[in-house]
Amino acid sequence: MPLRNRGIFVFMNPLQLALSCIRNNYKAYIIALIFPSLILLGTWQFGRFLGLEDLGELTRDPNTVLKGHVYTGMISNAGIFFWSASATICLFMAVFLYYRGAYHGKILLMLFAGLLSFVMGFDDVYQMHEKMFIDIRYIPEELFFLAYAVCMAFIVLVCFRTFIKTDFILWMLALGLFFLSLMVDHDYIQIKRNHAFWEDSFKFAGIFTWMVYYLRTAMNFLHEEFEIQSKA
Amino acid sequence: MLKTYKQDFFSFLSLFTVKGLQSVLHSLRTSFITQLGVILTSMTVIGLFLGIILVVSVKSGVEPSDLTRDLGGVLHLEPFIGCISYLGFFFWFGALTLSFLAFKLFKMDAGLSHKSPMYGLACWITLLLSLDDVYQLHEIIFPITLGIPENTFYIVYLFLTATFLIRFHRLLMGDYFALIAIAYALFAASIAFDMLVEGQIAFSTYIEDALKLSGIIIWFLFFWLSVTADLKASLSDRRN
Repeated sequence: MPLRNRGIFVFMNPLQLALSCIRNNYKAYIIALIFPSLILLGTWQFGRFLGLEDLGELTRDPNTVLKGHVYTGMISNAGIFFWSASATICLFMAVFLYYRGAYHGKILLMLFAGLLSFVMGFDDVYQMHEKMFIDIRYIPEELFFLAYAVCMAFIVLVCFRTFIKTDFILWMLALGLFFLSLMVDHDYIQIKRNHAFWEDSFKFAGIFTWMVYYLRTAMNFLHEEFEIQSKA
Repeated sequence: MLKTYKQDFFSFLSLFTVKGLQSVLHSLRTSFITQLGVILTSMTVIGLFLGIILVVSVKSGVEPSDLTRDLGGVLHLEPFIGCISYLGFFFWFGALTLSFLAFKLFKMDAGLSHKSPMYGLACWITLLLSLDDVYQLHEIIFPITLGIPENTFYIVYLFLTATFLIRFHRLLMGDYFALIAIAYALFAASIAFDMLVEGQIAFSTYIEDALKLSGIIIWFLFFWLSVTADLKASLSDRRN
């Protein structure tokens, strides 16, 4: 009998309920326990590799570590939210469309866009192209931008017929805003006062527009799929 | 499949002819007109965010660029400082997006619409928990900036969690029920560790944050696994 149909009686033996949940889906539970454990073991090793005395420096919110102002970096943190949202929307939709056996162009568009959003988000948060890679092993910043441009061209090319039917003007607007942010960062557009504010504002606007584009595309795909279902 | 890619490729190449460019311009124009509403809404939201920044900047006396720039940039930190904390943010927001998508998606599906309110409430709980973790709402912003006592915040948490568990206990008691129980247990252990043990043993901060991060990841996995399992079950029911 499914657990949810056992009603109030399941409260009589919560241990039995938990064990039967785990038994029914032991693979999921193994993943759920191993995944965070691996991250934490990796963090431990990384902290040792860096020679840190307090491993809390890796895990604690930087604001708390440095006792900074609570508002510092608030828009940057909101940026993490929208990167994460874009990646989750796209990857979840790729899984959903795959289960439904949808047109492969849609699946690929969502899958590639999800992976790209994930990488770009990580790059933004961990300053990969600005600092991390330069510190560990020198990779010119320009190479990162070239790689992103190639990835985007690849996605558009492979999923062109799907892409052209989406609200791609939003996607182009997002790219334009990222480009403006880069222009300000590299002083091609010179702003004397609050230089970083304008650079980050353009970037934030770009991330937000990027997320709106994928959210709209995902919602349109959902409506299309449910329309197909109701017609069938 | 290869044939379709070939067609896509040639269809893309044809855009670089005069006719193709004309169709691109036409498509851009119509797309811009039809999407004007979305573009304006997006710009308004962005403007609102940036407007808040200016107000906070004036009120707190912090440079506006310090509010927009990442902490590593402002304080010239090594990029690894707080890297696990940022990973936690990713999973918080991933869980938030998933619960929102499930709420919207399940509403459209007759077989799953009864689960939609559960994900709606889960979305609100995750929003509150994630914003609290990222912006230290209950520690600083609410009690110090807004003058709302910290306890009020805990009462809201408890109320939402109790509503979530009582109202939807039948739905929650599926195959992944133990995951949500483990996540809550890890959050509780992290809070207890913070209040009782912090600073008294070696690596106490690491252990406290490790418990919290594990809780966040398992919270995210609960949504990912239960939503995909619901979808799979619904689709296979329909096929049968």
